[in-house]
Amino acid sequence: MNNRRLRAGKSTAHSVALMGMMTALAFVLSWIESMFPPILAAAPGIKLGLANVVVLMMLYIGGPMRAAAVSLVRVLMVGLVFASPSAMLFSLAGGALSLAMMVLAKRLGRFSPVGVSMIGGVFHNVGQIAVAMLVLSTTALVGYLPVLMVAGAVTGLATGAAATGVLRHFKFSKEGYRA
Amino acid sequence: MPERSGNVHMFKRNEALLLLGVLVVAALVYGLARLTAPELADGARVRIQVDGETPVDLDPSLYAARGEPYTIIRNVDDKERRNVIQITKQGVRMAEANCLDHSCERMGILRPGAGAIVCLPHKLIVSWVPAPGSAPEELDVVLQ
Repeated sequence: MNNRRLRAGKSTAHSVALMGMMTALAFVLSWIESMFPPILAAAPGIKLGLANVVVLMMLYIGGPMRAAAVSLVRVLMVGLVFASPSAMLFSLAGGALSLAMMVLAKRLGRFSPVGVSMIGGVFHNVGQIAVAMLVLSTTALVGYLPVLMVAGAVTGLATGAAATGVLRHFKFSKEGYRA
Repeated sequence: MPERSGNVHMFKRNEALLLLGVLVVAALVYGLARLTAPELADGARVRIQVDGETPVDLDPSLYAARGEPYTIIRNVDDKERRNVIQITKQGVRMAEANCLDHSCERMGILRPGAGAIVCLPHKLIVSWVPAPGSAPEELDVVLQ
């Protein structure tokens, strides 16, 4: 295979194919995750975040915009196929804040993909709680924040480790991914 | 086969500090939540609030004695939203809900001072509040 064609964006057709494949992978991982029982029933919202492995990989391989596109399409597909519209709203909020903070963390250059993923995990849950409190007009959910923050960091560590295992097979220069 | 770059490290000092930072912030938020939570003396009420409307405060001793659940049925956009709340001496729990994910049913028994039961699809919150008169600034909320 010609490595030059592996660079995201070099070929439009390849870029579209790559993003389509990543979106499908993220969707399947979300579906698999939906079949697991809740990790901690007393604190709703704690999930493994398997789809974040793909978003994180896309962030490093294709950049923030492509990662955002994959994340957005994945959330919309999950919301339409096997989740509720309200769940889709919370996922969008959490996903947007998570990705924004991951982009910032990556640009700082002080964290590995594991650290970036941990930050993403924490802020995903923070975003969901914030939107839930706005929608329900209550501060009663603040009590769940400590558990969700720690859970986000731990699950982010796991998903970051998984993504790093794949990213190690890609070449990265100081400027970023290169074919 | 592409060469391994080897320049993507797994977990180093910054990540350890990050994890420690998250634990510290989580502990601070927990401490702040506990400090600002109202004292729940005898006679605490079960508050049920739906979609930001005026909350309903229930005397748990009455419902625990009767053994009857408190049922909320609302019709929103021609769809019935049903939540059945069971109040016992141990606490309150969501016995049944016809929402899509049923996560509120899995939250278990909510004891006084232990957070809230939330049914997000139905925009319903169940929580404990101080007894009437034990917190004068709460009276206006009850009277509305």
